[in-house]
Amino acid sequence: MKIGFQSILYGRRFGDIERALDEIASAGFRGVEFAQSPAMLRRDGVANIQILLGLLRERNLELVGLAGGTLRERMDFCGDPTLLRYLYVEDEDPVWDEVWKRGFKLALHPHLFMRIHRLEDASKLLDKPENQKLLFLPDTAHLALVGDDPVKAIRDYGKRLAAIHLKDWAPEFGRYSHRYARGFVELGKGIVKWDAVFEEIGKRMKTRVDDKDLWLIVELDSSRTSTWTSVRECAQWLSNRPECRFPTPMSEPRSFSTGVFHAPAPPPRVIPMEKELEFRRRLTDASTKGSGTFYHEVARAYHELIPCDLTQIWILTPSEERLDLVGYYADGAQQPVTWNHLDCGPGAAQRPLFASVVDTLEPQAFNLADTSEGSRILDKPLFDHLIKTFDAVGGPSGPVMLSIPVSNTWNSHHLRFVVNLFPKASWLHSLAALENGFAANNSVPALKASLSPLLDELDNLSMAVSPEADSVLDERCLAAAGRIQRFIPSRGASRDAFPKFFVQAVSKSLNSEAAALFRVHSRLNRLEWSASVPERSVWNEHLTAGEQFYEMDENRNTSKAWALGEMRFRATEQRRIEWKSREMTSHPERDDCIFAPIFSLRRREVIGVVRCTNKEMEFNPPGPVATDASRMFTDDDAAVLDAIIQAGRPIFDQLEIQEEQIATLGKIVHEFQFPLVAIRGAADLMNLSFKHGPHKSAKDFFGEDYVDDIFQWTEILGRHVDNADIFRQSYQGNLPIRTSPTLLMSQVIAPAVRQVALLLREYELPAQAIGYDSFSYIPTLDVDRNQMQQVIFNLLSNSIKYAIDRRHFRVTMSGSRMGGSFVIRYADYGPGIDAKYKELIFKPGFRSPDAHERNVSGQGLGLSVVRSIIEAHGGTIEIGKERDPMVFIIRLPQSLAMKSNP
Amino acid sequence: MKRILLVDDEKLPSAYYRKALEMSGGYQVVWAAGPDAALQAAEQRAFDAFILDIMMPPGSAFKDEDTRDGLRTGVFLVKRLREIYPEVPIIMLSIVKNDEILRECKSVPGVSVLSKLEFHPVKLIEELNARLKP
Repeated sequence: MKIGFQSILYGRRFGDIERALDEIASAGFRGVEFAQSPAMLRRDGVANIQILLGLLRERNLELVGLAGGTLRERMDFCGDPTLLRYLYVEDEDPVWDEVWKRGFKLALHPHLFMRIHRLEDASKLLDKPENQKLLFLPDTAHLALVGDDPVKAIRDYGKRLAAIHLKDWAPEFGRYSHRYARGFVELGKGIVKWDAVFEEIGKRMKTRVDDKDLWLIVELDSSRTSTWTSVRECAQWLSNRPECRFPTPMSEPRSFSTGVFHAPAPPPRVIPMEKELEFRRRLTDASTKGSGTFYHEVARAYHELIPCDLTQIWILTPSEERLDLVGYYADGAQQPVTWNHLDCGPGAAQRPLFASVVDTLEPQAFNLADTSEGSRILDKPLFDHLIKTFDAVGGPSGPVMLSIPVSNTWNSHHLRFVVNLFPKASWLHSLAALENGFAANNSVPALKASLSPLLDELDNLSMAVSPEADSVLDERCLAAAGRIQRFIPSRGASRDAFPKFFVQAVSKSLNSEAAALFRVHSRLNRLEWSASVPERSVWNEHLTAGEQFYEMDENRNTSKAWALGEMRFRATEQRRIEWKSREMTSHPERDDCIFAPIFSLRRREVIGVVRCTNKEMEFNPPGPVATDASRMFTDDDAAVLDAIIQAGRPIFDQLEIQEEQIATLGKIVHEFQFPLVAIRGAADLMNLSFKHGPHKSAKDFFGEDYVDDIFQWTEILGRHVDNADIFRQSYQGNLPIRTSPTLLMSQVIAPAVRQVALLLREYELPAQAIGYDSFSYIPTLDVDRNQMQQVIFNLLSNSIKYAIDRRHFRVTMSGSRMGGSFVIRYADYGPGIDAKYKELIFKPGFRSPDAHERNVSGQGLGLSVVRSIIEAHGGTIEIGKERDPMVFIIRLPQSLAMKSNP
Repeated sequence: MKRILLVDDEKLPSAYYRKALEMSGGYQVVWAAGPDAALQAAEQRAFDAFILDIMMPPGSAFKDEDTRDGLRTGVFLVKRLREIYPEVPIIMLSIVKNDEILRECKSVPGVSVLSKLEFHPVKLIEELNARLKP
């Protein structure tokens, strides 16, 4: 095998190509796959393929492949197909036949967020009979990221491999399910299982018949340190793997130059330095102002760099092949706003004029008066408006649009947005006057030629724009994720609390009209409404809990796209619900929706879906007014939503685990209750039998009333089972209260005290130490008698378990009326509690350190159940005093008093 | 001697109730393990009271109803029995805690709903005595 390097690390344009190739060669690589397009290579001084080959030969490097620029451009640049291994492609193209006819080889690379991103997608193309010449170029990280196994890709297409991209990826907070994919890291630092990959490569090498030289191409999109550090790090890693037989990299890059190549001299400046500095300053300022303002400020910064009639910023959303207008700045009258998004895909019926800029990432100038180009403008009203109103001059030059691509910081081959400038004609003329060609004949080609130095400069400047845009997006992501991370589950948080909080955070962070969360109901295998903002949103009319609106396949993924964590699907003409993902993509004109699956970290399955509709917004008038200009969700919004979901995933998982445990608890409770009922029935029957028999009672027969003991123990057991059941019910938010007229003293306290009689015997504590004061101030109350008994039982049971000894054991209960409440005061002369645990002891599962130390049994449910019951009655419970005695104050609202009471 | 129809699919626990009712004197208990046997018994002879469980297999009588795996069988049975015996007291005795189901049972006239966890045999007899006071 031979190991080469992908030059994408050096950006869309090398700048210093010799230095870059020196680094690659010094690290020990033997070939290069170029990411830079022929046009960019030319700007670096590589006028033709011979110069490129010369540069490679000096460094003992081979030309492996060309990946940048259009296929035709690359073929024309190469001329001879034997000079390289392959041309890189990401999707089908009508040009393929011509490519093969001219003798070139094509290598298909499945790529994240492109149409062909999974092995399955690639297979469809590779397996077509007419594509048997197509070679395969799998990428370890791209495949691993979409859940495919790179090993399988290598195994399945061993004989058709053009090369293998060795790339690694490590999770970076919140930022991977969208196109700003960062997280690509030096080999060995990420998720790719390299041992398996290399083992499979070893096996495939043996089966390759005609071409033993399989190229492995190391790829890294960007470096966090320096290019040399990253290149060398990858090389070092390879040299540590014996199967790679890779040399130890040099410690410093050396220069291989033989002095034949001369880098081109920089052209004279078109934009004055002070203007450029001002431009950069404006960008930095704007990056702190939030995304709405930021894009307007970017437009304004360009506007002041070059005097323009209108400046626009279009964000690309590649999975939708759509451009969204997110910012603009105009001189004079308010601009027409009939347009706010454009379909830019190759098949789009109304592909915008500047779509070629999106495809090639080359800045271009367009003459709007040129009918052949003008007719391709999508936003006809804007076009007409420009022709009519703007500072247009006569003659063939007409109004001009400069289109500048701004690429992504983390992978300069991906577009972030396009800046369209409509320069003032007077300014263009003064610029053109400096240029010979334009001044001489005023023709369209001459105009374009005269503008090319300006376009180059603008292109270079655009490199300064994307990091600022990234930092704006980072801020949004962090803020959004921070919202989620601030969620603190409240005491016994019901399962509804987090979903509500979550959709609120989504709605706020995305500036959406509405947001909703649907969670997977595993048993029924469907998605159910869980929470939405606003609560009475349009969806609720159609979607009540339990209503099914997505069908899931057997893998419990609603669609393939969900399985990948892809998120953008737009709503169709109406918001009715039998939406399937396919339908959603087909009518982009109307309500914009964003959908995102929530993946469980622990189960690798979709556990829920967030859905969000954009705010219907009018454009604000141009000027320094903060606004979110796009009516569609952009990729930036998708990134923010992703950040929220990433932050929420652990909490959703936690919720799920809790819900499963609680459901299990419910089943266990039921299993306990059945035998409990039976034991009591049998004991009861035994008592009756004695009554009718010769002994008259169990005590008479046994000497002790063991049957009554059975009864009492079942009651204690029943109370413990009830604790679990009440805990479950209050967690699920449906603790039922069955009220009946109840006297606290005789119907609650006395029975509860009777129930702990056996516990007192067990702990050898005197029953008479439990005392009561007058409860005469509390009338008959309408409460759940059994639950109130549970309250007193739990308090007593704690007092008994924690009692220090029989001399100190004492409990007193008293009732009074205070303010608007009936108050039960429960005083316990036991060990008391530390002030810092005053609130904590009511939390489910909390047990004081004392409990552990003294080996007191229990699950920490008792007091949380007490509080749940009291609160379900509209009352409160708190610690009134921490020790000597420790006092619980239970307040019940006066409204519980029976109406018949005086 | 009052005649009681006790409908409960749990054989042993219901046998304790049955035995206790009989020992207490004054009650003759017919036991039915499910709605089918219960309806058959109810058609054949007259009863002074019914004691019904709620959660039971639906039997052929209610197999087409939405009993939610038997959780709500008693709801259908009590309504059917009420049609046949408009006046006779009915006690529903169960460990079911679902409020909706309990409400549905209570909505049938002359029905009281008791928890098995609270009403062990002796207590049930007291309740029954009170209900059937001449």
